[in-house]
Amino acid sequence: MASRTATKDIITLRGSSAIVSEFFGYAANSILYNRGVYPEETFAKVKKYGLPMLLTQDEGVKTFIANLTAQLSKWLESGKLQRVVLVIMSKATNEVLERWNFSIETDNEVLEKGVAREKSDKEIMREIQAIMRQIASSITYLPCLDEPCVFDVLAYTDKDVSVPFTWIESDPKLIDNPQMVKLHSFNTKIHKVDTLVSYKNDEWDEQ
Amino acid sequence: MEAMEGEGRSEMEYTEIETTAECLDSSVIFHVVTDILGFVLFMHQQIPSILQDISLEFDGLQTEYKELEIVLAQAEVKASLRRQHAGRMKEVKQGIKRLEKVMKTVSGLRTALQLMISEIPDIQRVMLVLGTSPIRPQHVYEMCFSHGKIISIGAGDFAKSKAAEGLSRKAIRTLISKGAGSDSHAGPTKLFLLVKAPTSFNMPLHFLPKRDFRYSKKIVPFRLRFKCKAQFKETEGQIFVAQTADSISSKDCTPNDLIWFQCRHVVKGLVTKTSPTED
Repeated sequence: MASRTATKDIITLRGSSAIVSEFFGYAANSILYNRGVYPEETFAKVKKYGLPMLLTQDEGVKTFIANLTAQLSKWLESGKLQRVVLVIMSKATNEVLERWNFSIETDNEVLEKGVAREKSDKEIMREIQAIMRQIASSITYLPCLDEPCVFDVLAYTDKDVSVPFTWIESDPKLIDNPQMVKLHSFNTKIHKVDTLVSYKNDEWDEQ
Repeated sequence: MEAMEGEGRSEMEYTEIETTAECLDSSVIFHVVTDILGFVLFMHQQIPSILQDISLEFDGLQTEYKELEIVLAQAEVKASLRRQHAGRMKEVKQGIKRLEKVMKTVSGLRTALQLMISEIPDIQRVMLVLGTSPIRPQHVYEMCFSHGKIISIGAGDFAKSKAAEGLSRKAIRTLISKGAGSDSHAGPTKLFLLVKAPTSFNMPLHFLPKRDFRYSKKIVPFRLRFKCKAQFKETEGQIFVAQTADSISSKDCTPNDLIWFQCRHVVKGLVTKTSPTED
């Protein structure tokens, strides 16, 4: 019988930071597409994580996400990033309707001693795939967003982090009496990312 | 997930989902089951996108095919354009062929379920089994419906209400929170629908009886129990059932009179060229 043990790959802090920041980029795109924040026709299909993924072709949004992931990668490498939250708000009222929360735990030993870890790339991709599927199927379990929406991204960092001028301090943009769904996690053995979506309860939605 | 040896399947293992609705009518049950079915197929990598999107894609391809047929039937089409359209027609045909089987099976399954629910409005247990065979599953999803007032809707009236939508969403959120689909592996398999019904139930075009059906004890199922606001009271409840000669009620049956029926429409997963590695 063939062994099912996957070959393990060496993962460094830099490599893990790249995986995680890239994941945020694709996850953000997928959320914006699947929640209808931007029209379908403004997205193009690409293959990533073994799945058809949608990427925005809107130059403004593209640049925003590219700059975002670059900065997140730096913070991840320094071990200063605790959480990233993609917030979806009503365009008309600015009321927060959804919060896609990605919490990050970083292996301190890796930060302090610069050691590497081992985990199969395939296994990491499989875990990320599961999360992407959950985002892609969000229309089946989250209330419809029936109005024009806008989005923002919040980064929760350590206090001593260096912040570019393009980022400003913000309130947490919380939802009143939110409902929550915990999604899957993925773990590179250096960074563990937990995903949770909280949303404003729809009147028709069962609590 | 594997069960420990000797671990039974007790009533405690159900995750309860309460609905604020007064009752679980046939339409609600139908949509909850079919929405969960779509979710299971997608999360377990048996279809490349959610069922709603595949359905739209399939309809779009069929429409495009008909339009291309009409264009190509015109004599005055330029040769270059004709070749272009013919090429596109070939692609569209391949797309239709790829999706046709799964769409046809899902459609057959939905029809079968509607017919069954119309005949047995107080349906209590439904099971979705994913695997090469029902007795050796990879994953099992069991749904139990605790009825309040039993209301049979008019024949053909399975329109999706807001209540059905809300309950489906709640059910899928529950499954996600419980980790449904997290241990899925690529590779096509089959999805079987089983429904528990009185032994007198007879719909051989769509359902086959499976007396003494049991699946492998190694599998720990996801179990959901749907409860409505007004639980049925034996002494003072009322039963509303469509007055047809064929209506059967599960309530009149003892547990021994109920057996599993397997739907003949078995959904076969689509082979997708996905791989877990980066492209």
